[in-house]
Order: sequence, then C-alpha cells, then structure tokens
Amino acid sequence: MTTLIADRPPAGPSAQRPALRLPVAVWVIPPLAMVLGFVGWPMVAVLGESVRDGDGALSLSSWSTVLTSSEFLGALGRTAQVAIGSTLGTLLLGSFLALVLAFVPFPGAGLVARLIDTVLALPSFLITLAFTFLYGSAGVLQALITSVAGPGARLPPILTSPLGVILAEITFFTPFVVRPLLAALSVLPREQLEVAASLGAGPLRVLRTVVLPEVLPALAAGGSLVLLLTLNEFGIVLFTGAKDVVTLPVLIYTRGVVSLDLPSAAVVATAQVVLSLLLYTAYRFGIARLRTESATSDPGEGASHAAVVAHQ
Amino acid sequence: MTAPSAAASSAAAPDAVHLEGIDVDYRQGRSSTPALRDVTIRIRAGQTLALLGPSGSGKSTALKVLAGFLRPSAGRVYLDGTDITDLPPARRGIGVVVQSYALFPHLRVADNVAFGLRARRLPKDVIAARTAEALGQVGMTDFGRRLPRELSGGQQQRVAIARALAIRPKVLLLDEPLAALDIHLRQGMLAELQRLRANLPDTAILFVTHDQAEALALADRIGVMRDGRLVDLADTQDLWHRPPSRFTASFLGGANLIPVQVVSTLDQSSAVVRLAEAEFVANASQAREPGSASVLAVRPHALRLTSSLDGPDVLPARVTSAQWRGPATRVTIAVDALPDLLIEIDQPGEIQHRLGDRVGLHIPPRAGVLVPADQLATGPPSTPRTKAAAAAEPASRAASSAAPVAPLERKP
Repeated sequence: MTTLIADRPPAGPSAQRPALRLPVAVWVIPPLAMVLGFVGWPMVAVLGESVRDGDGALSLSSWSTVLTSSEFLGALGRTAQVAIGSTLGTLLLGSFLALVLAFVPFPGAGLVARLIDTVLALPSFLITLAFTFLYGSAGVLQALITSVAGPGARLPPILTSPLGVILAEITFFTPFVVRPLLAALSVLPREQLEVAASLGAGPLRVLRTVVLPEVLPALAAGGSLVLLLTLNEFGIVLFTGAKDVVTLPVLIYTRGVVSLDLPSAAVVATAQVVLSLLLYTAYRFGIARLRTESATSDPGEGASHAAVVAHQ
Repeated sequence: MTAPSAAASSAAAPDAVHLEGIDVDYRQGRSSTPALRDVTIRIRAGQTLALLGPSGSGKSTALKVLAGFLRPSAGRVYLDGTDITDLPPARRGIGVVVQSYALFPHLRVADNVAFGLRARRLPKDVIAARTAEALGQVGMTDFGRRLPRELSGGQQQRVAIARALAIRPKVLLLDEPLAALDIHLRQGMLAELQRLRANLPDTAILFVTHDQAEALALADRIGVMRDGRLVDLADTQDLWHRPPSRFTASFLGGANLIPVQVVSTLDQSSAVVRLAEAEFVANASQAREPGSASVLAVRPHALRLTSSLDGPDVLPARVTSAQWRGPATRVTIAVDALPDLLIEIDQPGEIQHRLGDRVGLHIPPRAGVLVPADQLATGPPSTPRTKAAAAAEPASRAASSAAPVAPLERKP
C-alpha cells in the first residue's frame, strides 16, 4: 500500500479536493429504516396483535387456542400436503420439460420455452380461472361429456379437491423449475454427455450419474422456491372454490376478513411467517451443504476406495 | 484423395477401423452445410492415424462419426469388419478423449476412471483393479481421491486418457488432446503419449490435430483434410518427404511452392528443373514430361541464402523481411526472376538482414519435391503469397499467381 501511494503521480488541483466523506450511518440508516418500516413493523404489528386479547390486554390465550385448534392443525396439514404435492409435481413436470427442451430438438422448441416463460407473467388466479372454464362443473370438458354420455354424466369434482389445487399450482409454478434447470442444462458441456455415452452409459445412466448431479443445485433452488411460494399461495386456492381445501393463507383470510377475529388471524399469520422462515433457512442450509458436499465429500462408491487402497 | 496404403488394404485381418465413403451434413432448418464428403479411412490394429488439417476441415467431425456422436448422411462405419453405423456410442466400445477432457466434475478421479466400468456393470473387484491399472498407466495412482478441479491441465488430460483406457477399447480416439495445454506441458505430454502408444500395441488410435509436430511425432500415417475432404492419406514419412499435393506440401512443413519447368528426367524419383537461369535436381514422386510445368515444394529450412549473387545455381533476390525466432531467423525474399513471389527461408541462428538487402537464393540438390502444378481441389491453404497479399497478410505463404512458368493457382 505504501508503495502504491509513493508511486502515485503528484496530485493535481482536482485530486487535492477532499473526497466527500459522509458518516457510515448516512448510508446505512435509510435502507435499514425502509426495511424496518415496510417489513419489520408490519410483522411486529401482527405479532403484537396476536398477543392481545379482545380487550386489548397482553395475553397468550389466542396462541394456545389457535395452535391447538383442529382448524389450525387441519390447515397446517392441508398446506403441507398441497405445498409438497405441488412441489413434487412441479419438479417432475419441470424436469421433464427442461430435459425435452434442452436435449430433444424439435421445431418450435424455442416457442414452447417462451410460452412456458409467459406463464410467469400471468396472475396465478388466471390459471385457476382457465381450469374452471375447462374442467369446472360448467366447463368445456363437462359439456363434452354431457354431449357424449347424456345429461346425467358428471365430471368428478377434481377441480374443487386438493388434487385440483395441486394440479393448478403445478401448472402455474412449473416455469419456476424449468427456467433455472434450462439455464443449468445450457452450460452442461455436451462433451461430458458424449464421453459418458462412449464409455457405455445408456441415456438413463447418463441422466442419473452425469446430468442430475450437475443440475442438482438448480433443481434444489427451483424446488425450494416453489415450496415457499406454494406454502403461501392464496389466489389459486381461493379461485378453485374448493371449500374443503383450507390452507393457512385461507385460514388467515377467513379469520381476519370474514370472522374479523384479528388476534387469531395474527397467530396463524405469525405461524405462517415462522414456517416460511424455517423453510428458507433449511433451503439455505441445504444449498450450502450441497456445495460443500460436492467440493469435499467422498462419492462413496467402491472403486475409488478400492483403487486407492490397492496402491497405498 | 489418396488410396490407403497397400500394406493396410492387403492385410488379411479386417481393419480395426474402416470409414467408407462418409458424408456428413449439418442441418439447420431447411439449410444444410456439408461437413464431410466421401471420406474413406482405414486404420489397422496397433496403428496410429493422425487427421491433420486446418480448423473447419472436418477432422473432428470424422472422429465424431466414428465415436457415434454424429450419424453420417452417407457411408458406413466398420469396427473389426462389423458394421457399427447404426450402433449408439454406448455399444461401440471406443475410448474417446476430447479436447476439454470432459471429466465429470462431481466425481473423484478414481470414480471418473471407473465410470465406464460401472456402466458395464462389472464386479466391484474388477472395477477396482482396472481403475488402479488405468491410473497406473498414466502415472496418476496417487491422485485417485482428488476432484478434477484439484488437478492441473496435464493431470486432467492423463485422467481423461485413463478413463478411456479403463474400458480396454480396441480403438482410442484423441480429439486435439494437447490443444488446451501450454507449450511446456504439451512437450511433456507428447512424450507421454509416445510412451503410451508403445504400451498399447493392439489398439488402433485416431488422433485429430491441427499441429503437424504432434502428427509427425505420434502417427504412423497421416490423413490431411481440407474443406470436409480427405486430401491425402499416406505413411508419415512418405507424406513428409513426398507430399502428393500442393496443399499437403504447404500445410505439412510450410513448404514454399515455386513454379519451375522440368528440363529432363533423371529417374523415376528425380528430375532436373529450371527456375529462371538456374537448373537443379529435384525429387519427384512420378515421372515428369520434359518441358512440362511443375511446382517445386521446398521447405524453408532446406533453402540457403548466399552473399554471392553469381553462380549457375544462385538466384539473385532481395530481402523483404527478417524475423529472428530464437534457433533460426525466418527471412522472406523476393527473387528477381519471380518478382511477385515471396520465398521464406529459415537460416540457423540470428541473421542480421536489412530490408532491401541483395542476397542469393541457393536451392540445394534434392532439397524439394515436385508436386502437380494444377490442382483445383488441393491448392494451398491460404491466399497465394504475392507482395500485395504479403502486405495485407504477412503470414500467408504460397506460389505467386503471376508465376512465369507454372499455370496460375486458381482459387476453388
């Protein structure tokens, strides 16, 4: 550092001008205030609301009542069911689509990829609305069944069941898996696949032993994002009109807006936030561990040990 | 295209590799670009064939066809006499080493090497033994537990070779295996590849390179490619000493292509030729008609510069440039009798020349070989090296289009 300073040419008049030095606080406080104001304060307000009783006094009665209620536990279970089911379905469908788009050249592949991207720009309820028009009790499919099998034939009420919600969420959230996966596949060297094939590996083996490990971080990132989003999804569930599908966001809405039971709604909302943060922490931890493992872990397959041991 | 050597075609056993009349077209939408045209190659077991050619000449495409990565639009591929054209790469049993090495980054070195053995579902003890053997062959025994990113470029290349050898292939394909290494590593790896070659007496090797030094050092035979066609294919020594075409003469060894006139034929392998007032003896791969035009291919190191401008075999010339390159100085001259032709000469050591210096060009007896004067399909690789071309592109090298004796070089 000293050398650098000593070697500097003599500073001109403009260089001698003192640099604008503001206290660090000037740079830190505004963004911090914004975060606290727009994120922290509402969360504190919700938390505060959850620890007050009907008279405004501090009380944990709402917590004990809500957390042990069958409604909350049912909503928690349903939320997990829908979120996990949607995530798994999204991972399967998204992986399939990404692999086809990346490795199976067909006319219009680019257009299909862009159409999938377009779904990201649509509001989630639109997908559900489209589902209603297509598969609802007065939808296109029902009309087709009626015209073929008679007025008595009815479409099973899949749309208003948890399965319907999961299918709608899979449709909407699949691009969240396809996009990062396509990006990861695009940088996967083709030579690796060719060499793997020349070594005797069939397509499935190449997929499992070469492609999958390489795109696992992208898959984990996409899946985790979908899990978080489906956990908090409200529009799709509401628009299906599935009365039996009460997830945590629906419960918050019901308690807070319909029943005007704000303390209960605040408890569920706080639980929802905690759940989301836990999942996010697990996601970060998982990604970090994945990276560490790929850098240092032992693949654990016999040959590596045996080969090394044989020469030691 | 030159026919395969008589020895190869007359061998009783089927060739280890036989590409027969291969065409490849790269299609994009409705357009189609020819990448290979009528390429026929035979390689016997234990033989190393180098495919040499400039970028885009189709040599890597030929390798991909053999590996099964590309399907030819015409022609057949045979391995040990068996037609494998329709077999997927996984069932061909060919070892492949690519320029980027393509090691699997998430697998340790030993697991990379064992990859092909596991794909074949061999017993674990066999996998372990053959992995260790392959690593030993390339001197990487102690690196089995490392990840590819923990290795140098040369070490990665050895692992890639070990991985290809572990499956004990009858055919090994090397696609520019030294191209990604720096010059020092390349020299060392070249020696290692020579040693490896000696240890694989039954393996046919197809080696793709654009570096003539690698081809000369490793190959028993060399195929020279240009524009998707196999221009020449012959034993390495023959191709070096008697290049059958202007393109090969120019690409392999960077020969000057000097237009001459045949004066008389001495025997089947030599002739007296005339360039301006000078007459000298040149090698010839076939008999030449006295009075016919021909082209003398003579490499820069085979020519001599003299300070004397007089003499029956000395051609007065003028220095147009001189580049010291360490062991030798590359001098470019314009011969008075061929004012538009630039000739390159390598003089040992550091030679001081000034632009415009008068020198004499001496072509020693049998320093060059006669190649056909008129070859449309096999012309030199670059624009003819005239003064105008030299001004724009100093590195180009070829006979002048204004040569007084030989016909003009026509661009394809």
